Amino acid sequence: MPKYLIEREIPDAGNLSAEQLKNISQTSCGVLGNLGTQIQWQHSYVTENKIYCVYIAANKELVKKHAKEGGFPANLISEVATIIDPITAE
Amino acid sequence: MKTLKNIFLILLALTFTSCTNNQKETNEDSLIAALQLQVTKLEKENSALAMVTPENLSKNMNMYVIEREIPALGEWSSEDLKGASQTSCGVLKEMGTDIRWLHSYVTGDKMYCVYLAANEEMVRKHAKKGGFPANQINSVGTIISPQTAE
Repeated sequence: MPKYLIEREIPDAGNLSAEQLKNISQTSCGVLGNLGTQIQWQHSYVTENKIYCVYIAANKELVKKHAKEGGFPANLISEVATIIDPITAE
Repeated sequence: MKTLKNIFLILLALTFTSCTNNQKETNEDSLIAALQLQVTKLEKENSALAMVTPENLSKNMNMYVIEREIPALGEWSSEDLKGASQTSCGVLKEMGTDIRWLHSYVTGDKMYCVYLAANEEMVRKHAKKGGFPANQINSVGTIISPQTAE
């Protein structure tokens, strides 16, 4: 299944409390539970005004559906071609 | 004589079965060993990823997500990506221990890089020296995952 990187523009995301982040994660996981096994959330980087999410999904449509049902923005959804790291240089 | 022949045939059949079983077991064993190796490798990768979080970094290090807009990046060959990684690592080596590259997500026309650095300036300096764009540099406050919901 392809991997996607999703940019979610959320003003002041960096100021969300642990409790708020937990609630958001619960909403996300709830929607994922309804969508079945064709979409999976790996992890998300929370920055000041943007959350970068890494998902595995059968297609982009499912990522959009998850965002819509969960009430999350999905400003940019890009398929990840590959992941590189310092080992790639060797 | 007939009995002897029968015994011989049974023995032959048994030897054959035992050989095939051995062969099968060896195949299964090597398959299990290969799978075990893969699982260990994945566990190591996951724990390495789990170990680096903004919360457990030393006080003078921050985590950043850097957006690099690179048109047609998705068409780069593995050789192109290797070249870029070498350039990046070369610059990093010159810059010392206050900046570290964790990994980067390569998409169609944007690269999302995850770095640890003492400050945003180091990230800019690395980009400038390596000739990479750094269109946005965002400090990571925390990493969330399905575990955060528990």
